[in-house]
Amino acid sequence: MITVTGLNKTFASKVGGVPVLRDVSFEVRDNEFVSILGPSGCGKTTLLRILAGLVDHDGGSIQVEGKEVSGPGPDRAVVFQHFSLLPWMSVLDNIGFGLRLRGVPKAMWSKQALQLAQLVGLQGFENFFPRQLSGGMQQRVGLARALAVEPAILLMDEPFAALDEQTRLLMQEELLRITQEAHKTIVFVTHSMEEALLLSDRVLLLTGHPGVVQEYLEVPFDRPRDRSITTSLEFQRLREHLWEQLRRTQTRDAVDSSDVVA
Amino acid sequence: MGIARVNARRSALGRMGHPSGKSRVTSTPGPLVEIGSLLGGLLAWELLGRVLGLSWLPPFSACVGALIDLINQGLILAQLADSVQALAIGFAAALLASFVIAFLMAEFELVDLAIGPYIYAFFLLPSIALVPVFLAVFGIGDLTRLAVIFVYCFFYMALNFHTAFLERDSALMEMAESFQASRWQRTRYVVVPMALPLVLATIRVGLSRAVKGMINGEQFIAIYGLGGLIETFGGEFAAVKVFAVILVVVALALVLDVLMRLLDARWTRWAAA
Ligand SMILES: Nc1ncnc2c1ncn2[C@@H]1O[C@H](COP(=O)(O)OP(=O)(O)OP(=O)(O)O)[C@@H](O)[C@H]1O
Ligand SMILES: [Mg+2]
Repeated sequence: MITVTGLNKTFASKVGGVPVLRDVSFEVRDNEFVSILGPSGCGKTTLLRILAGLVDHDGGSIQVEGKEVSGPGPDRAVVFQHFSLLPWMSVLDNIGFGLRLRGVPKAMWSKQALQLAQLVGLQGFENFFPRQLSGGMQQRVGLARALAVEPAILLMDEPFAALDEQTRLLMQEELLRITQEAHKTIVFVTHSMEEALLLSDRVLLLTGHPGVVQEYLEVPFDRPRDRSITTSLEFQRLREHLWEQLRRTQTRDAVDSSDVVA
Repeated sequence: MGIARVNARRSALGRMGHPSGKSRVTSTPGPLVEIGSLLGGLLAWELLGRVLGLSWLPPFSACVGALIDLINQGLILAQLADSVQALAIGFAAALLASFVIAFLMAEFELVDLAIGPYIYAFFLLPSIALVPVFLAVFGIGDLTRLAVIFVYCFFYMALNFHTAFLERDSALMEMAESFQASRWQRTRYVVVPMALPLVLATIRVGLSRAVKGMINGEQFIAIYGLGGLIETFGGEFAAVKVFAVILVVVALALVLDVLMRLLDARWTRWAAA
C-alpha cells in the first residue's frame, strides 16, 4: 500500500522555484496496477522519482506500508524510460545487477537472471551486449532487471514510449501476462490513454503546471484481460472521458498563460 | 570519450593512428597497405642512402648490418634489458600514482582544488626542463632516469584519467542508486567501466611518452641503456650505429603499442561498432 498525501515539489532554480507538483494525494492498494497519465511536463517522472526515493519532496508525505519514504529501498524497483542498461555488461549481468549489488553469490544471481531472461523472452541472448539488442529487447532487460530483485512495487516510467507501435503492443501484452502471473503493485507512467486503460485498475490523471490530480479513475474491466477490451463500448467511453478531461485542462492552461502574458 | 571509442574499435594490429577505424570493415587491405607503406619507406631509405652517400644517412641495410654486429658484440641486448627494466619500474609507478591521484581528484573536490593546478602546470611544462633538476637532486644514476620516465608520462596520464573518471552518466548513476548501490559500488560498476576506454587509450599514449622519457633521460646520463648507447655512438659520429640503436627503440615502442591495442580490443569489446 502506497499512500501519498498533500505532496508538493518545487525545483530550485536561479529565478526562484519551479513548482512541479502541488498537493498531490492518492493511494495505491497492494497488487493494484495504477497508471499516471498526463500531458508532457506535468510532473509524472518527478512523481515517480519521488516514489522511488531518488529525489526529495518538500511537502506532504509518502508512505509505503506505513513507513515514510526517505530513499531507494528493496521494496521498490524502477524500469526506466530510456532503459539505462550498463553497456559494458551482458544481458545476463545486467539482469543480475541488482542482486549482485545485494551481495547475492554469483551462482545464485546468474541462475535467477537466466530464468528471468526466459520469462521476458530473451533466451539465447544472455551473452549479448545491450548495443546488440533492439529497443524492445533492451526494455525487456530493464524489466527483467527490476523483477530480479523481487520488489513488492514496480515503478515504470513510460517504459514503452521509445518503442515502435508494433513492439509496444507486444510489450503491453507481455506485461499483462507477467503481472497477471506475479503479484505486484505497479505504478506505471504513460501519456497514452489506451495504454493506461488497457493495463490499469485505476488511472491517476495529472494535469497542469504545476501538476495537480485531476481525477482518479476506476477502470472496470475484469482480469485476466487482453486487447479485445479495447474495442468494447465501455473502453471507448472511458477513452472519450479521459480525452475530454485532458482537453479541458489543456485549453484552460492556454487561457491561463495568455492571462499571464496580458 | 570519442577518441577512446574510436580507439576501441580499431583492430589490434596495424594502423598507425588515423582515427578512421570503423570504415575499415572491408576485409583485409588495412594492414596490407600499412606494411606496404612501411616497406616502401625502407626501400626509399635504402636507395637514398646508397645514391646520396651522405655520412649522416647510411642505407638501411648498413644499419641492420651494424645492428647485427652490435648484438653479436653483446652491446645491445644487455642495454635493452636495462632500459626495459627502468621503463617498467618508472612507468608502473607513474601509472599507479596517476590512477590513484586522478581517482581521488574525481571523487573529492577538495583534492582536485588542492593539487589539480599543480598537475596541470607540470603537464604544460616540457618535461625535459626538469632533467637538470633531477641530475642535481639524484646525481648521475638510476633514480634520475626513473624520475625522468615518471614525469614524462605521469602528468599526462593523471589529467586524462581525471577526465575519464569525471565522465558520469547521470542516468546510469541514478539507475544504480535506485538499486541501492553504495557509493563504492557506483564507482566500481559505473564510473570505472565507463572510464575504461579512455583509460586504456591514455595508458597507450602514456607508455609511448615513457619510452621517450627513458631515451631522453639516458641520453643525459649517457652511461645507461639504449639512450646511453645513442649518446656514445653519437659522440663518435657513428651514424650507422646510432641508427642501429634507433631501430631497436622503434621496435620496442611498436611492440608495446601493439600489446596495448590487443588489450584495448579485448577489454572494450562492449563498445565496438
Ligand atoms: N531536475 C530538475 N530540475 C529542475 N526542473 C526540473 C527537473 N526535473 C524536472 N523539472 C521540471 O519539472 C517539470 C515536470 O517534469 P517531469 O519530467 O516530471 O515531467 P513529465 O510529466 O514526466 O513530462 P514528460 O511526459 O515529457 O516526460 C518540467 O517543467 C521540468 O522542467
Ligand atoms: Mg517523463
